[in-house]
Amino acid sequence: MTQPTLVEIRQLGVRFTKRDRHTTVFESLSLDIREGEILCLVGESGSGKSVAAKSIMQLLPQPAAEYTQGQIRFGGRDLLTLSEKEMEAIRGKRIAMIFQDALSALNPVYTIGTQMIDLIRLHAPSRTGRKQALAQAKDLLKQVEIRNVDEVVKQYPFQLSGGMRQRVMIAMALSSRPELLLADEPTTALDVTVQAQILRLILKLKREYGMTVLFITHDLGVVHEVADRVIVMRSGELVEESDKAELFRNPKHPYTRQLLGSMPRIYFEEARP
Amino acid sequence: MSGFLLEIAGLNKVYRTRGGADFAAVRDVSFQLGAGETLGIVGESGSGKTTVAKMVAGMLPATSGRIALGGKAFGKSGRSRADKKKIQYIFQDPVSSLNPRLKVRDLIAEPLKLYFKLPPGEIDKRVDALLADVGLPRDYRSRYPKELSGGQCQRVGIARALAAEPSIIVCDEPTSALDMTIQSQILELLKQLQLQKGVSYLFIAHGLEVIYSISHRVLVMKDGEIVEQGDTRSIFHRPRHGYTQSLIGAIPRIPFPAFE
Ligand SMILES: Nc1ncnc2c1ncn2[C@@H]1O[C@H](COP(=O)(O)OP(=O)(O)OP(=O)(O)O)[C@@H](O)[C@H]1O
Ligand SMILES: Nc1ncnc2c1ncn2[C@@H]1O[C@H](COP(=O)(O)OP(=O)(O)O)[C@@H](O)[C@H]1O
Ligand SMILES: [Mg+2]
Ligand SMILES: [Mg+2]
Repeated sequence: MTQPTLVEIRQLGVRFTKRDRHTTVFESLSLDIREGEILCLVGESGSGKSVAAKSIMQLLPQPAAEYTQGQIRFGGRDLLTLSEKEMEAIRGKRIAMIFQDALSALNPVYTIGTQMIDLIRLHAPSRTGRKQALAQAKDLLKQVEIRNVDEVVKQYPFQLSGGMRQRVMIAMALSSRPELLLADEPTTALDVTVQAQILRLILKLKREYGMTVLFITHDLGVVHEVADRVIVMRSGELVEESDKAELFRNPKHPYTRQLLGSMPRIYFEEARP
Repeated sequence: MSGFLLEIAGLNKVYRTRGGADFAAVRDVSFQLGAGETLGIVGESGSGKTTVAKMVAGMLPATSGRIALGGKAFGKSGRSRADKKKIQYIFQDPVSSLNPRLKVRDLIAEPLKLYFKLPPGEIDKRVDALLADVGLPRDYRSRYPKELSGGQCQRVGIARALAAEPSIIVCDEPTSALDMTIQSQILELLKQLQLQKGVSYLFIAHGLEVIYSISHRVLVMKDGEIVEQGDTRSIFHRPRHGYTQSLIGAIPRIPFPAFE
């Protein structure tokens, strides 16, 4: 059984131009993100995973980046043809994005509370007071399993550890209940236990709200943990697309085999504790 | 004098927060690092790993404690250029740790110019060699950090640290932003350097497989303190502390056949 498609990328071409010199990231990239799935995007560093996610969000730097061809269909429309104003109604609302580097995604000069209140009031359909928004902010922080919420809302981003910042960023991304979450290496800087918590959180959001997730990672352990399907990329091309179980059991492309083969492993001769 | 290259004793860091309350991020941390040795540091996020790493590298003043290199303790008044050259740092956060106004070439040339007297042609040659070492094509020389992917920025950061030819490299999550093939290439490179030149590493990573593959000894941190340290095999195979046991237990086991 296949779910309906939420995002259809068709023959997408992207290139960067600097002083008349072009660097092509995609000649022609096509891929589907299906409703309610967690699609993992893995592959070579520099292959275009982040560019693909930023293309969906229309976040590539202008005018350096150019869409040379193709479409990105979402909700019956081609995102590439929308005006900036129309895109603003989607970006950060129906589609949200989280990054590896939460520090640069948060504003250094405002407390977490202030930033979240502003964001919540921006998305709120009717007038939401600051008090009410603060209560919502604390709720969201609790959802991402932050315990000392009263303290955290008064803190500045630099005062939080990497794991805390990451959770704050996820809480902010979730504030608008997005249909699609683009997660670009969100757990790369976290230790295994916090990573496991964040992954459980993302699985919960998928299960409870039917949120669709595009999850970019280099960690095949993470892929194994969360993915429904996996796409492997290399130099701007999709080299393999398969169900998770199939990918690990029977990788077809030589590059995929190389990736899986170079994964460091621990050999436990003795029973695990 | 003990024969250790680096000795850390009773290291503390208290952050003063805006509210005025003090927060002890690192408490009474002591360890040694030998020449040609790799000490892995693992622990919860927020446990103080980066804080320890930055104090060791001289990028953050310690509140108290002793950091000694080759038997000589660093004073409060900052480090000499020669000392800075000896301990290099690879940042956890690749993108924001690079000066956005410098091109890749100049980012890598910076430590070469700072620490060595080299003719321009030689600098160019070394930049190219370092780019090749970290797997970046030569034509990336003229790019700015914002024109690179996350993993490419990370590799520029690694090349900068290697350029100084230090005796210790403090590596804060150096390879987590890299794909498995590049990651193993970088780990191989670091191991080779250690064999050839006796470089020591203080190696922080949350990927326990990486820690296992590179560390001689491992130190486990929780809430600002060391809970356990020992040689790699005993930490992984006979963890004593409950927290270490839960870490080892959380390693994902992927049942798939080996390739290649
Ligand atoms: N603003 C830019 N200007 C020029 N080139 C860019 C720009 N942004 C990205 N690129 C290039 O586009 C290619 C794809 O970058 P992208 O960030 O998508 O890689 P990635 O697959 O996410 O890699 P990583 O795993 O290292 O994060 C890379 O070669 C990168 O150098
Ligand atoms: N500049 C700072 N001001 C206040 N607290 C900080 C600062 N930097 C880090 N901390 C706190 O110190 C603790 C340790 O942080 P860090 O060393 O980054 O941890 P790790 O690298 O192990 O994730 C965390 O609780 C963090 O919130
Ligand atoms: Mg990327
Ligand atoms: Mg850290």
